Amino acid sequence: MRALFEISKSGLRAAERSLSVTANNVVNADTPGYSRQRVDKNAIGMQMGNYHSGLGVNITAVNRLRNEMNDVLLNEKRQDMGYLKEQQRIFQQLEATMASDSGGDLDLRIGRFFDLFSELSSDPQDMSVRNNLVSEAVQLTDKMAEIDRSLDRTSDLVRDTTTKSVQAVNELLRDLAAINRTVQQAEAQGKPDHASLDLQVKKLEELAELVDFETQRTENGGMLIRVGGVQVLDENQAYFLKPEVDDVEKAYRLRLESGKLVETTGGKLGAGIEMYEEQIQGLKEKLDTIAETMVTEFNTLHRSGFGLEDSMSRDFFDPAGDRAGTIRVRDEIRDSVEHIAASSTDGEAGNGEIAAEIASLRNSPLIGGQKLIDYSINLISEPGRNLSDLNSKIEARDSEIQMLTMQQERESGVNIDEELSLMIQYQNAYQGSARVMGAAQQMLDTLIDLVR
Amino acid sequence: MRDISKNRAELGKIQSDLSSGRTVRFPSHDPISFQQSRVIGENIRKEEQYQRNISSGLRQARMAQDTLDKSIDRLVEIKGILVQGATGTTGESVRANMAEEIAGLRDTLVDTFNLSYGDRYLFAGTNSAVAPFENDELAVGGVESHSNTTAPNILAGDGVQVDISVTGTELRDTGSGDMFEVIQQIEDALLDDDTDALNGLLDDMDGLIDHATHLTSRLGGNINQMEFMFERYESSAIYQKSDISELVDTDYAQAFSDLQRTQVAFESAMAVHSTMFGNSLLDYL
Repeated sequence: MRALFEISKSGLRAAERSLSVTANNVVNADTPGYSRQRVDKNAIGMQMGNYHSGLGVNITAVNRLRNEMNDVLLNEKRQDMGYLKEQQRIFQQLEATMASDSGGDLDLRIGRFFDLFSELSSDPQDMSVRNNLVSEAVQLTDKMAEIDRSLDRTSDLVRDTTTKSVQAVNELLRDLAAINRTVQQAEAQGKPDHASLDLQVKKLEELAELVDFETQRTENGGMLIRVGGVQVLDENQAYFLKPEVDDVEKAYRLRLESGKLVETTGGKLGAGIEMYEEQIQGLKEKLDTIAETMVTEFNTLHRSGFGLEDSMSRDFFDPAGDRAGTIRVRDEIRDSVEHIAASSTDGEAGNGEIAAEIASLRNSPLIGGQKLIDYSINLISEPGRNLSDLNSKIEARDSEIQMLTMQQERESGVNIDEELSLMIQYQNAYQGSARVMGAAQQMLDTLIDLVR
Repeated sequence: MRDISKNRAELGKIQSDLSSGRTVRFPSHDPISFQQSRVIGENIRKEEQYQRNISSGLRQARMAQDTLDKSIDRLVEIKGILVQGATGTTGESVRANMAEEIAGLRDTLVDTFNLSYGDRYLFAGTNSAVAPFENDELAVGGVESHSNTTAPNILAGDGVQVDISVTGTELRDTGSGDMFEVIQQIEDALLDDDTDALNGLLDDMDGLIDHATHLTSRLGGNINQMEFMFERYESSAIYQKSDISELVDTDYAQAFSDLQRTQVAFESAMAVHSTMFGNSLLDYL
């Protein structure tokens, strides 16, 4: 008779416990990183003489459903995505710096500049043409300086965001180290800490967007993390990254406190470093090439010609400034436009031969077999070209992540409908057990009544 | 959910394509089309500048041609006087008057040839800041020349320079000798009453007129060339602009059909989404 009470009691307890797990699942349905939990039960019983008698139900474990392999795959994709998205963000800024939809870009400015030399060659005595030429040249040099400044600004911003990412990585490492300790303690007591493990998943997801890393789980439940082959988290503590920036050489290095160099090529951090060290510098160098070529080519021809006033040969651009940030029309030319050398012969006011030669530089392959304007069109389209590549890569990566997330969801995600149907089941089980207990009570009452 | 936001982004793109009229506004929309359109745009600008050069060149060349026509009229007048003077019946005083008339015509010629366009003397070659001809007793034919031998030109195309006038030097240097010298000889012969010399000068005078006519028609040839090039740029600009339009402009029919299609997809995705979320076991508990 006692067994009846025990069996129904275990049923009530199991149903209640199961319902509480379900309840936890339902309320955490949209908690990031949460993994669905399930109750594992065992029937208990014992051999009684020559038959086996059931003695109720026992809860053996509350399991956390999660596919760790899937998490690793997902984090690899996330790291890739973090890298691509950061590059996309920076290239978007760069594109806006270099090209506009209104068209007043570098190619137009250079074209207008050549136009005016073309006009000057046809009308070398016209002062208004000369004035226009100088103001156009000033606009062109201003434009180059402006782009150069914007590139510098973007470079500084990228450097700062990257440093912020490093800080974020360090904070995550600190959190993960704390989680490591709780997880290991709980594991040692034989009671896995599901809440901390879920938090660990979430932190690793965040870390994956920032940097490329490898994980390894130790026997006692600890998590080891390596970045670029260097250990940054072991069972006991985290080793923080320290940025080391060389603004002149444009080098961005990461070191541990111990001085060990950490090389990272992925995630937001890797993207930031690559943009800072290479991409933005590459654009700047190309812009400088344009400036340098213009200063050299224009000055060489200009020096061989003569202005309207005297027989002095002059540079058009200040030879001291042969970079995009420093290119400048010579003060002498700015101050008196008669000094623009259009003529190939001293004293011939109507001679526009030199202006014609300068105008024809427009068609000459001056930079690596490319015309000046084609080269600059190429330059202003470069961020957009990269951006368009990135956009299609991101789209592909996005659907991969989508697929893996769906797989993970199927495994770990909470399906409200399933939980609700489980809830009905547990409710019924509870009612059933209670009924059994009631029946046992009645049986006991009947027995006691007999005695009375 | 992802499909809904994708649809929304696509709708946004179609909307801005339609409202701006251009599909490719930034390099990232389509790098190749963007670059091609800019390269063609540069070519159009270059040719438009050539057109402006040609327009200005044509104005100057037509002025020069007009002046040459007028100068031929003057030369014909001189020839008329010469023919009259060469006739034996003309009296001495009449010849003196004629000589004066010729001197006047010579001065007119000098004035005519000193024509300027803006600051530029059209018949001075490239030495065009200075008037090409100046009356000077001591010079050959009584007229000093400041012109050089390079005609002013304009840049009409890649490596194409077209002369927009003739030089003063060329103008003087006729097959029958220096223009002003011949005129002076006529004047002198009239003063000297030398009919033989006058008769002898008739051929030279014809030479002067032929020379001026020849130069006028050569300039006419240049004018024709410039007009032809102008027209060619005009029609090539039309083709190039339509090329750009094909590369970067919105195909409205396509955009509207895309709009409709995306809208249907968007609405159905939203409908499915809300139906799915509306259906829950919660309703039945």
